[in-house]
Amino acid sequence: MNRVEELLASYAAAYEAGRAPDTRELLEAAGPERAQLEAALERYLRDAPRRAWDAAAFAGSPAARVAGGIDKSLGSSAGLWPSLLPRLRARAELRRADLVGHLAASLGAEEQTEKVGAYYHGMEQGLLPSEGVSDRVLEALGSIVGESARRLREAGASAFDAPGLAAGPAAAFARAVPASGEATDASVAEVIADEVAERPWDEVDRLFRGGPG
Amino acid sequence: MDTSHFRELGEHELAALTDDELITYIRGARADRRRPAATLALQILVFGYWDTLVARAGFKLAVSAAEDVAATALESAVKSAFDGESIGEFRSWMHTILARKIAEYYRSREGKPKLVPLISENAGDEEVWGEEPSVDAPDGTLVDLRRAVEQAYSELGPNHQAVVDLYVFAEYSAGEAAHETGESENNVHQIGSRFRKRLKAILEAAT
Repeated sequence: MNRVEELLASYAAAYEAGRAPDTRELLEAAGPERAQLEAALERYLRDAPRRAWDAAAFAGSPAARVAGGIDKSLGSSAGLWPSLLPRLRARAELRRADLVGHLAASLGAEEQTEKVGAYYHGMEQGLLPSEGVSDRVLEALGSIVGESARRLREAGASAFDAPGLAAGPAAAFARAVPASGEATDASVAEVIADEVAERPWDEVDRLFRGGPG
Repeated sequence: MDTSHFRELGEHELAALTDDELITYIRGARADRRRPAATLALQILVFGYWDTLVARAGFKLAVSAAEDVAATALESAVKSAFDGESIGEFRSWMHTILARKIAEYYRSREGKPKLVPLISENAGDEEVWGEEPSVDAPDGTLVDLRRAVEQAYSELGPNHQAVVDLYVFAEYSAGEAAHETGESENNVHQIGSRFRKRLKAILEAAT
């Protein structure tokens, strides 16, 4: 067995035992045969079978966050936003409250930060229909998290087949956020109250629900 | 699996299903409004491939970017499986998507390795590629280069774009790009070479 085969075998043994060995360390160890090992590892990983389910290893893992995002996207009227937006926020190292503050300021709605927060919550949770969100919001959000408005729009429009959703998306937004005080943002209740009372929209409502223009 | 008569399975039974069976199961669970059942099956699918995808992406990208790209690839793969747009078995389709996402990552971010031609060094096809200048040239050259790349790229069909993504932008070997796209290695070389020639022509016409 040559050096590359040895290193590949050690990687495969660790992988098949449920670990995720650091390929960078392994490649360093390969020295001049690095490219050869990388190609062998690529082939191995491409053909590797699905890893056996391990509920304990899954809990709290990055895979759990990704699965959670996809799961929300499956039933959402906001395409891939429930998966993408939290990831972009994490990449930008922003707490949601900070992001909402920046977003409200960018939109000139500092005095309605809570309402902006409620809408942003709806975007992250897949409760707010993406087609209602204006380009201005996406441009402001994109500049905060370092992503193009175009990609945000595309992700929001990437609707999964969602047979579980029978009602209109706006109704889903209103219904899905509890009005009992359990809401993540207290101000969500205010948005719902506006909905129920059929109050006229203000500028923030138009920005998040009035469509792209 | 017949989705009209959905039967909820336990963890062990789910873990024994193939990828395609898991996807069908998720569809059935959702159609039957059995959200927790769908969620568990999805978790099993994502967990099963997460480390593999991150490790593969990690050959080309920094760790944080590798996780980002792996997540995007998984989302797209699951979405296309649900939409009936995936081609072939789920695993190989997902790995093909991963390769495209790595390439897109490079292409969507400014100044990736060997993306930007250095006009002063473009004596031959293969020599036009160099490291990106650290700042925009004062005459806007860098902007023109990006526009040229976009133009040359947009002139290609989807499969040739895939080859350029992998072979030119993500620096896959010709063999790897051929494997991912179904083109021959020789075609990969030719497509890459033609792309570079076209780019050079666009740049020369603009200067």
